[in-house]
Amino acid sequence: MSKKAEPKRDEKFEKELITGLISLILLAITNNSREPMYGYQIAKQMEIGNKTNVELKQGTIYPVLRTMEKKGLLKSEIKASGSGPPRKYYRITRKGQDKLEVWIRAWEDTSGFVNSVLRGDRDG
Amino acid sequence: MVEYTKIRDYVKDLKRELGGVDEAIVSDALDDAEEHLSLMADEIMASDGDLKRELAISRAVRDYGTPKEVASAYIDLGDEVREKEEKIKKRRETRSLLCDIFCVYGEGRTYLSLLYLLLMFPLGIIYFTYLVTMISVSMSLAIFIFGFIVFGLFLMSNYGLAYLHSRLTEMMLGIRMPKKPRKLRAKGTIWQRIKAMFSDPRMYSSVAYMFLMFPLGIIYFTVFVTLIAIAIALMLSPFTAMVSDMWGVPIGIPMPTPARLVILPLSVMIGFVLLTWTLHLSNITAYYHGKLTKALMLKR
Repeated sequence: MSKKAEPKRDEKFEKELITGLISLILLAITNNSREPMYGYQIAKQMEIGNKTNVELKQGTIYPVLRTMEKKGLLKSEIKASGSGPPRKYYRITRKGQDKLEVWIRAWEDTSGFVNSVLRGDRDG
Repeated sequence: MVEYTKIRDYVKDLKRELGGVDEAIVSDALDDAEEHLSLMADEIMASDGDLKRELAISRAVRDYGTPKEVASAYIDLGDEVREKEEKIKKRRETRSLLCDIFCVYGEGRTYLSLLYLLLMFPLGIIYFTYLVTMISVSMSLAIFIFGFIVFGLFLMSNYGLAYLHSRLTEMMLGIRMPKKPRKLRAKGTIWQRIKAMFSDPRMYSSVAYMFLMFPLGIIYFTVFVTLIAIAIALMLSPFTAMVSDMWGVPIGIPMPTPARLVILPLSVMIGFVLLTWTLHLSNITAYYHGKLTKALMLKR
């Protein structure tokens, strides 16, 4: 941990952290929503919750959504919109909910472990 | 960084960055970008009424990511597909020659390919009848404005038909096709949409494909049914001979017993080789037919 008064943020590190967790974040967002969401809504939701310095490009979430759909974690439905191209709405599946539970447990274990190490560092 | 003021320009650059990647992924990526950017530009304009669309688009692109950034995200996804393909390829390369020849019997895709090719026959007839009927009805009604409406509806129905067909191809042949139906890209008045529809090259290529399915379906059906029937008949020849002897019904050319002892096992063997070869042929044909489907339906 930096002991400077104003620690500079390490954007590269933050970006690596978020990129590794993007599937978990996206799956949780779709799980929290009662209605199916389209990509742009999900991207906005992510922006609202993002308190880090990392500016995630919205275009990069779409391939992740498609991959999760291919794995059966999300289900999509295409609906026409009044103006502009039709929208693809994503909804979490039963399999996705099960996977999310597993991932959350993994995240809690990992973050608990990391926190304990960090606390140990400070104590020692 | 290039400032993008038109979604079309952005999509063009994204397509360039995605050069060499699976066409279905390219199609997905371009659809995603179009959907997102147009939504975002609309929203930016709604919140800032004075803003011009060009500026709203360039602001949307800033959040969406440069074509290079976005393309690399899709390429990572594409690699997963490629990895799977390479794994299958590797397994093929390491297996023995014997398996190369005979494992075709145990692979599910063999039977799906064969079924797909046979299905082309009824589907080809249905598509052909539909196309010819609709085109002739709209041509004969062209003296009234009504004919153009029918023709327009027919062209629109083509988008749906092509989508259903590409789903079937993906399901049966395992060739990746875009998940979204193709759509009319143009916005604006009904006339502008109709104009856009007529100038869409994919419209013509998919109509051409549907026409082509008619002769191809007939060829596939005839060739494969004939080959399989001959192979099975040859393999069953000892039984046919037995039945013929038992009931005293002459089937085929009467042969003396010593000749039978040579000819019957030989025909079983030839039948087996022919059947194996036919299954390989159907796999290869389905592979190239899938490529054709992809090329004519996905061109953009």
